[in-house]
Amino acid sequence: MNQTFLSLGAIAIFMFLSMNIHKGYLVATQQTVDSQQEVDAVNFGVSITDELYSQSFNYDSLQANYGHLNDINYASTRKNLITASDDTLAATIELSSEQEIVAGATGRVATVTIYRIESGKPKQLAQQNASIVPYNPN
Amino acid sequence: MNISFELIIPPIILGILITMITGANVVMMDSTVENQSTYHLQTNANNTVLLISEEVRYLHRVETANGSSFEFVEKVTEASDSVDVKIFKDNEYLKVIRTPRGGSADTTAYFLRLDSLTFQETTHGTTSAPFLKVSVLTTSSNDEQINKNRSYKASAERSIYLKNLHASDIFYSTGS
Repeated sequence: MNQTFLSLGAIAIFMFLSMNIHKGYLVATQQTVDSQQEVDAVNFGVSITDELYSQSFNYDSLQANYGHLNDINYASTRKNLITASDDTLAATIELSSEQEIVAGATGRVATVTIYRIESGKPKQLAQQNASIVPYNPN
Repeated sequence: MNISFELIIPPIILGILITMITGANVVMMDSTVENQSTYHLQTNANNTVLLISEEVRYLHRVETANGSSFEFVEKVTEASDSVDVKIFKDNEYLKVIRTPRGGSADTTAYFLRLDSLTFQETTHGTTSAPFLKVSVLTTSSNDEQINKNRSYKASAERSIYLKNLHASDIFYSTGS
């Protein structure tokens, strides 16, 4: 009888260990998915900052074109992207007031924040800054 | 016939224990291989986008930009000779062929486990700024998979601003 109880105790301990190993497996899988989302978020952010840099040639319209994209809660006031893995990413752009970016050059700093939209709720994934100065051919 | 449970139960429990331990080790091994494979695939997808954004640094004129290959002419400076460049997917490789005018082709191949590669030339709605949208999908090969029927995939997508092209268009249209 004692042997049976000892064996049952061993099974209980190994069940606990096995559960933890499977939990670890699930966490690892979740991290793989998170990692893909972070890659997508960073690439989305870089695409937006590239787009903002192109506005150097159209600096006067910067506020009109991007000033309204500052509220994550509405699809019309943010940039949206469906990724290859069917995740919904969104980005907001906060434009600073005019300030000196480098010596002698005045421009604006755009803060791009990337979110993942999950069941309608935003979760922040990344944030990037871009400094935009008006194009000066001289 | 008398049955002695004292003798039968312990070997059965031992068998269950061995199965559980083996199963747990298999899960750990699978998880390690899967993580390593997906990490490589995600890195490769991202590296493909980074490589392409570096390769188009001196882009002067776009020849073909829609579909699975991208052809353009590059010039390091206005005075330098033109070089024809073709970037395309060749099986799992990203290939870059540079052919200077009147010279011989130089091919570079990067093993990046490519599954698909798509180029699309786009323009910004209000400014007509040119962008190259690059979409990359990488996939694992059979020897990297635990289950031969279940492959792992990763993706990356980026819109690359073609600044040289934009600037030259502005200069051309203003006559500068």
